[in-house]
Amino acid sequence: MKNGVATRLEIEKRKRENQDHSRDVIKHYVRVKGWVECAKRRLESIREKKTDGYVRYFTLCGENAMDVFLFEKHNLVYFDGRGFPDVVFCEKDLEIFESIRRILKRGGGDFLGEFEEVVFRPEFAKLFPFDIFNLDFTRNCFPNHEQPFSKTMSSIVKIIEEQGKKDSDFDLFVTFRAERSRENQTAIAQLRENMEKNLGEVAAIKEEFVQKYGDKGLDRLLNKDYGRFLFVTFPKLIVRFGNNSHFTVSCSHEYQYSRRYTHSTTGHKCHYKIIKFIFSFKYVHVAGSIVQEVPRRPQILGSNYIEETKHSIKMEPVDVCLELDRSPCLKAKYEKEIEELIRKIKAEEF
Amino acid sequence: MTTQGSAIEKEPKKEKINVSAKIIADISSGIYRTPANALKELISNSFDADATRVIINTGYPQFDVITCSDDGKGMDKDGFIKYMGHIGGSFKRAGGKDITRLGRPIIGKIGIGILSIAQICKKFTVISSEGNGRKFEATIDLTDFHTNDAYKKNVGDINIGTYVPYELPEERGRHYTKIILEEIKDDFKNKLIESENRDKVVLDYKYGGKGNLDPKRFKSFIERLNGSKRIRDLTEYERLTWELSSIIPVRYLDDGPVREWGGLKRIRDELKDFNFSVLIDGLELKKPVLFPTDKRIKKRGVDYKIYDDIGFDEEVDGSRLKFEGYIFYQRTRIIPPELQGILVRINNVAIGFYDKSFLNYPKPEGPKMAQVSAEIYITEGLEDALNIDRNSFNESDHHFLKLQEVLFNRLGGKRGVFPDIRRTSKERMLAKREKEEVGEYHKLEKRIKEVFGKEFTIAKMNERNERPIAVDFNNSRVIIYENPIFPRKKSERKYLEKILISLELANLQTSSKKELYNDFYDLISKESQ
Repeated sequence: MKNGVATRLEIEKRKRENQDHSRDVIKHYVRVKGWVECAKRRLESIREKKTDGYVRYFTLCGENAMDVFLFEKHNLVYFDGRGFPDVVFCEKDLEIFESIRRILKRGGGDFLGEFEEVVFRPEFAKLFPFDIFNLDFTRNCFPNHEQPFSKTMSSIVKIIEEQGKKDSDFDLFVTFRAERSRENQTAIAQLRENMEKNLGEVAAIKEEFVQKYGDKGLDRLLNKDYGRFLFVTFPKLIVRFGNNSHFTVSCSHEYQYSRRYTHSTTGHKCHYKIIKFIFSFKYVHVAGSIVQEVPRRPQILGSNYIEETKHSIKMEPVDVCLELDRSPCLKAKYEKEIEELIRKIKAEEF
Repeated sequence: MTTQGSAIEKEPKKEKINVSAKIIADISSGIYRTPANALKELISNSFDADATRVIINTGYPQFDVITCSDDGKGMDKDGFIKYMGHIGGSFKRAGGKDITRLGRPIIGKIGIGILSIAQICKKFTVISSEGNGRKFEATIDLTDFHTNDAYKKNVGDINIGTYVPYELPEERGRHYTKIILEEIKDDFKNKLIESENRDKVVLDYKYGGKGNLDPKRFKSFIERLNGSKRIRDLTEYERLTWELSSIIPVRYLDDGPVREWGGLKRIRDELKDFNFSVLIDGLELKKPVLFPTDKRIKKRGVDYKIYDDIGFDEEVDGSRLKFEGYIFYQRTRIIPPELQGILVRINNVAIGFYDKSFLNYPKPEGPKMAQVSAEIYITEGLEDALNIDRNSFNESDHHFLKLQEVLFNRLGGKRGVFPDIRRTSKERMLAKREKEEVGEYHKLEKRIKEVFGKEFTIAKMNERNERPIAVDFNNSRVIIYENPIFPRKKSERKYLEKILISLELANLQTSSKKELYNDFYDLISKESQ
């Protein structure tokens, strides 16, 4: 580190430590079961308005842009013969950026830089609205070197606000690394405090929580199962941000799996969890005053928050490794599909 | 990924880039006049590196970052440092080598290609590997170039920037060069963005919708331009695509440069054998030359001609000059007009664009100049005549003068192209006129048959006669002779011919004045219907 900034060699070293997970069957499970299925539903709703419409997609896709090619395979994104005009991506690593560009060809836009910075650029704002955002972060939600309200959270809020300005329904896929030691402890304390407040104020939420985790459940989750703690507390945040921009939000899917790594200084074998969420945002228009039966927007949004908080307590995240162990056929099928996609993608590689 | 030498070396030192002030002054004065010319230099470097594929991505529609990658032999860290230390002194041709390992004629000569990038951006990164399990990466910061008084200084060396050359592990066997241009200069970027807001003329055309990359798309682009558009009316983005395709060493469209012509075979085969393709934003570029450019033009020898005997191979002032090429002519103006003129290619790369003056051809040929397009491929010589920008010639160079002489002779000599065009043009006009006349007389013949119930043929004699019209009853012929009575104006003459023929026939066919008038008016009125 030089003046707190990682040198090029350090970045390269880190890059090599972070294996390329694009060929990972575990990850592919989420792509197929979660992302593709959700995108299909989104496309259906797009086609209700525009029969030849396609999904407008923003992704932090990674080196092989597997998600884009999988979406193309399922006819969800449009390929116009020169590239994907409705796909926009962002990548901070120069070499990976070049590689993604090469395989996606002419897209709807691409950004070299940190997503958390790019999202505030005026030229990015011009590209809204999107139908799906796939924020596949490789880092923690609240990194310990950042403010409690991290840049990542700010960027998510920015997306929701921009979509809100366009009254546009959308889906949000979010992936984080859940490793408590790397999180900002103030942020975690605030999440805990906020949940505690909800439990104290809303009986329905408390009932749901106690039934599932018991009276002292919150601290137990925080100390013993940090991933699960985030599954309970994080969606609430997203729902609140959505509500602020006049969206009702529902978390339809949650996934988790473990990853192992060797600590760079101690050499110890460590592990962390990857947690994934799929949120759907539906814009709530102001109801006409004559239609008394239709609840007013504040009521809809208020009840959405309580219902979704209850839902996220109740929801059981899919343990992807377990699911794949149970179904060797599915694993083999995915491996085959990954190979097919990689073959197609590698045709563009030097 | 199998990499060699996973241990990463210690942080390398920052290096300075010094370039001769003279070169910088030349570059700064805008020698890379168009974005296409700047990118051409990168493509030429890829060609010289034996790349088979170059992929350029402009970052459409934001144009924030431009990338250019190739699968060429790559470069190692030492090679890069050597190159950056000798800008303006290329070692591509070290040891008198004029061809690459794959047998391609080397384009680069003085080693300033990479500086063409300085016209576009303020910072760029080169990542390259020779396939030996190592790659190097260097980000070149051109701040000094853009802030120093590089433009003003004319002697000595100037520091134009800095870079840090990193050497990193890479998969063995992978060889490539990737150039990533960041901080694109505003004038360049804004031009492209602004043009995006203009009506898109061609490239936004849907190329058949979903499906695999369609190799015919470039042809479709060219066909839409031909006969209807001027390149300068296209958006800057489209113009970049067209210009780039016309100047780089890529192959012709399958039926280019002239439809149903098998000529220029050696050149076309050579371009094919190079196996060199360039894609810009997913569009594979081919030479944008597909004659005739007018759909109405079909007949070779009449509507269009190809003069494919352009060739020269001789010593000129002690060094060899060798070239071949073709001249194409069509009877209508060539559109896009940017294809009018002559394009000289050295080692398959265009020097500038089409030159409408035909290298300063001295005779005034009027509109015929706009009906001719030519390409000359220089395979040996003339390189010394190139100015540093590689876009123009030193016009007093002996090779250049010889090229001019051969060209002017072929264009304007006794059996030259322009005299031949004049002849062809005249013949075509005469044939057309004759056809029209035959058509006119045929109509009158039909009327005569309708009125008199008898067939007559009308013939025209070039001889003079006292009587302008004579009727030969035995052979059922009406003969028109030359006579001063006929006006010079074609339409007036035709009309008078008709009146006189009608009058003569009516007079000979009828006995009473009344009948004569009736028949005469009958012929005239029916004729005029």
